[in-house]
Amino acid sequence: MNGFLRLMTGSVRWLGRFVAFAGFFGWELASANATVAWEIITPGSALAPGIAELPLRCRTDLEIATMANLITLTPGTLTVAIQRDPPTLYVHGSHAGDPHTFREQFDELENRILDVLRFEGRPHGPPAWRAGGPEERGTR
Amino acid sequence: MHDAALASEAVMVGGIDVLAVIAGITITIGAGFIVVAGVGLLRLADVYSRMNAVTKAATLGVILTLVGSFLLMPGWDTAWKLVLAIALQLLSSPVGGYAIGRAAYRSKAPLTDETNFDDLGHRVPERF
Repeated sequence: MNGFLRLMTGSVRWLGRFVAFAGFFGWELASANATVAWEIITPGSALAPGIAELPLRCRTDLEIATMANLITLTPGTLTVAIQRDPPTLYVHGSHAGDPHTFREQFDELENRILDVLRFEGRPHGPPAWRAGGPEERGTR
Repeated sequence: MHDAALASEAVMVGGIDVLAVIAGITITIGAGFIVVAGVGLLRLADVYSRMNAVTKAATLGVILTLVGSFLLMPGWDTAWKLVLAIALQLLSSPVGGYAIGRAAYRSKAPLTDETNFDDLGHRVPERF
């Protein structure tokens, strides 16, 4: 009975996280679309493109593929390469700025994807790219 | 499937069908996004930024156009088609965008000179 109760509360929590994810990504999609549209219709160029290495905490193929696809779906960012082991994406950003702030913007997305794809929710600990120290990573 | 129950109750304000007006606005905004995507294809600096404009702005444009069409013909019969079309669009567009972006990089399509950093560093690893 205890196990059943835990399963029920877990399911309700998961449903809550799923709704939160849908709202989060819907808003991301809309606001990023507006940014890209604004960049296109206003004269001049505010582009600051770059390709960043983004190590992930995603492990399974489904998690990696979801992350890569949602990044590509978000306007202004595009996955150009995927590495399986260790799970790493190479992400092109049209408004990337510097690598550190660019990687930062994917922390919340990865957290929320894992919230939904893992029944127990997001893992503890910082995003993988922070663990190695982005400064030491030596951006080319 | 009869949609009469849903469709017949048109909300009229001052002789104007509110739903049709909202539908018109939604479709116009959607078409606007597609136009912007087309302009972006010409204006942006390199293949990667252009991919951004097309796969995303166009995706939102298509979704808004579909939602607008649904508002013109509300009902369960159109609802499931709407959901199916949006789901397919959201699944296929990033996969295609990734395939083209990856192919562009592997065939050494140049990054614009404004590019600040490139962690891939023009290497094309075997295991991608």
